[in-house]
Amino acid sequence: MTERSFNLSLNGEPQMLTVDDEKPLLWVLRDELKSRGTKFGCGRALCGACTVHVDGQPTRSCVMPSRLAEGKEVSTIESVSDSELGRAIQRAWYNLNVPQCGYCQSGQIMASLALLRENPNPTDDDIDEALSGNICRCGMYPRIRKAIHAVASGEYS
Amino acid sequence: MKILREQMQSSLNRRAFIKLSAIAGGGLLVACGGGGGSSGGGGNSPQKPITSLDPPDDPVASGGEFQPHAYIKIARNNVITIIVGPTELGQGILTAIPQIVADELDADWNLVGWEQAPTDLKYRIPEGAQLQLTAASFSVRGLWNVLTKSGALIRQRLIEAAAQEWNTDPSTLRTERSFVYDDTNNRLISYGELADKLAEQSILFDPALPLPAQTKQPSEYTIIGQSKKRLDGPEKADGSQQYGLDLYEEDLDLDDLKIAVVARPPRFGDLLLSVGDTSAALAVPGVISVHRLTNSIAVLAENFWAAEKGREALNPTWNSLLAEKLSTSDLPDQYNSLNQLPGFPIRADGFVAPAGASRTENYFFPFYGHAPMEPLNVIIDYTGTSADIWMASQWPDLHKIVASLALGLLPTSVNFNILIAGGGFGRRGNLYSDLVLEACAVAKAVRQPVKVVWSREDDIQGGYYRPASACRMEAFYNGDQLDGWGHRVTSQAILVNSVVETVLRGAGGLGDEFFVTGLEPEVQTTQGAFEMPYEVPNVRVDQHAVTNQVPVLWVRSVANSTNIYAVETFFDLTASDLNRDPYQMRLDMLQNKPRHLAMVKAVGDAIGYTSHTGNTSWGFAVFNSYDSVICTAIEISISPRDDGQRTVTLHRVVSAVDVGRAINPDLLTAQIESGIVFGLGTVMFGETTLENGYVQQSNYDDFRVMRMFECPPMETLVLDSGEEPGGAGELGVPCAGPALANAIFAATGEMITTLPMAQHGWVFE
Repeated sequence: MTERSFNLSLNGEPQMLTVDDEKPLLWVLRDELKSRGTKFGCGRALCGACTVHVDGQPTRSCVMPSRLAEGKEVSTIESVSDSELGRAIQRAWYNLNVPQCGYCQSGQIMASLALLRENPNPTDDDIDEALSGNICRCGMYPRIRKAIHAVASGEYS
Repeated sequence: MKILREQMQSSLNRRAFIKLSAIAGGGLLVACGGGGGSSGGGGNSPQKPITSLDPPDDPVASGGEFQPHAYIKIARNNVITIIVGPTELGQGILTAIPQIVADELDADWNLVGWEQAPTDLKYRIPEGAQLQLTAASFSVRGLWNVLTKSGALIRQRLIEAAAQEWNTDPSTLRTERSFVYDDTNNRLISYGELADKLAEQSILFDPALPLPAQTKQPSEYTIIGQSKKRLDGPEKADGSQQYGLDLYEEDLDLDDLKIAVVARPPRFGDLLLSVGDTSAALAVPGVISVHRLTNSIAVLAENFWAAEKGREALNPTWNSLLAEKLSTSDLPDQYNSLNQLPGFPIRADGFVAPAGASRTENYFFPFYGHAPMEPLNVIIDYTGTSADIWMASQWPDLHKIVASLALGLLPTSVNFNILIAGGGFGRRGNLYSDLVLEACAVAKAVRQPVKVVWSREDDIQGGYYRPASACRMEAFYNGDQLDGWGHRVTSQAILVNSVVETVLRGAGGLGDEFFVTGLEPEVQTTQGAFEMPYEVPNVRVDQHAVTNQVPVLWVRSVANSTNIYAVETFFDLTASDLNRDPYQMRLDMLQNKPRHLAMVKAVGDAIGYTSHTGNTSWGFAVFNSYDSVICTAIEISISPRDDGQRTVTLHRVVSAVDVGRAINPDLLTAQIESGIVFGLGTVMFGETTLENGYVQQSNYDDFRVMRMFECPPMETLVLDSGEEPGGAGELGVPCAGPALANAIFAATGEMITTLPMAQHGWVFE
């Protein structure tokens, strides 16, 4: 248990933290940095509700000790609208009525954004691979899949 | 919100802003309908405004907002807010209810927003159980009459106000998109400009009373029946929707809101002997205090992570003398034995012999938890003389009363705020009120504002599961006809309280004529068995109730999720015995059920069932409840695997639904497909098992729910019959499992009767 100071960048803004550096990044984001669009769902990297990007890589923030984010660029759901691709994803999510309860959707969107950045034209198998770590208990999988394809086709650009 | 503000229609700004004004403008309401005021004080939900928005025009600044009716606020700038009584769990009620009211009101949909209602008698569902209870797929069908009439009534009052303003005959005026038009004199006036006149008239209105208003003919609808976007879509697409877990002290204007987690008995019925040494827990940085509750221990901390670490450091002693020590592997034999004896009669048409059935099958269904995505939580600020509670409750009026009893306060001193839920499926509508009772106990112990948070493990191991149940199905044949049908259910009862049962039965879909014996059979566990739709001359349905200490509760579609599986798969077994095609036999035996028949035919036609060829197999199931009907068919193929198991590939899921009148066909489709995912995941691998009383699952690794790669493509045909709107929230669940099982049976001749399927070596993709 060590409390110490370190830097990370959150959605492009430098942040200096003084926290127990074992505290998971999820709770540092939510408790310290007041970035609460990133959700707690399982605490064990099983549901994907806490998905953020660390240096561009989709990461389960609920199991990542915050010290591992030292010096890194962390981006969250709050930054999705900063990119054209992110805006297209949000438009698709809205127009296709993708969310139901909505609780998992920050994670679904972060996983989808990482996928589409890496692979602008994903197949169904690619979507299965990239999104199967993100549970939607409301079962909106068909719509998430449809929205990803719609973004890939440029429908929401 | 940036993206949405820039890219979407400007009305979204206003919608988000409406919520802002709903909070800011709370004190400016001029006339609140219904009289009596809010029973809980305050009233507005704590939905946080989206603070990044700078509203272009502020209705408060521009003259105010008026509430001529419990459900309707009208601002001077013509923004109309519909106040929604049922809790938004994801089902889309925050969109459906505004659509209904706005249509009858002739409101401009682009200027309509929502507000989650306070806990108040005005927002109970005035039919059925007359509760503010979001359950039994009852919100739209229970509120339909009062919503349509309320919209029509206020529209009529707006016309009258305009006529008064212009000194003209109201019958010469018309309304459109939030304006009253006088075509003769070529003039118009907005609802916003008229709203204060309605307020001056102080229309008092009780939604439970019959309303004088004339509602529209269906052909006149312009908003009802349209696939509008979810009104809560923007905030759910950009992460700004706040759930209970996201509300921190600054959001609620509380000082010093701390987090508590609770160490509960490891087994149901274990008794807390001693808290033990708490020094290790208290040594965890961030842990504030440890409190013994009646039979559990609360750890109060600065944040959830510290609270969890503190709880891990506890070392309590539990006495297991009275603990429930059952092992679920023992239940099938126990329940099947009981099912050999006659049970409490539920339905008796003709005569079904007690023995000598042509075919008998025993089914077993495991316990099953809800596991909504948002972990359970309750926020409570208890001062000793009053309490504010924030909870995503499906049953706020009950939970408020229970909280007042637990805290020793008058209900008027408890302000119960309803939050948007990150899923519910019944768990947040617990009639035993476990969440709120525990939060009250914690609040009394810690004497400061506190949020009680359940970890995922707490949720999955915390009880209140769908009860394990067994069905004994019997068929009697006469030639190639199904002549007798027996369905016996053994299950724990969900409602053990006959008062609650009596109150709820209106919402359960069974009429008073059912309760002819004066006894109150437990309808919740025979749902779906009782309503068996096929025309069979002799039908017997009976029931056994068993008891144990595993807490049980309704889970989405309640006993329909098990009984419909038994009914629909046993039907296919009988068809096979009688050498009949199960689809054709359904058509033959549903001749007196036109709504069922239409859905089965619609699906059969859509998939071209009668001319189907190839290596795939289809299975059907049909189901009616909540004043709605669904038929689902699933197409599969099966392939061997190297590990000796077999893979079932789901190619297509096709459903036809008749909910009478779909308020929003796209959101209805979402609900149906959500139910299908829930139902399929449940039969494929859903189970909560116990060994010597210990729950074996703990998180989403061993408590499996459906994931993206397992989810099949789906098509849903929305076919309105023109009846009054029925329910949809649970409708998709019950047919999915039996349709899959029937398809596997069609392909292999093997009928799966012990759930979940995965235990028999089936893998799904």
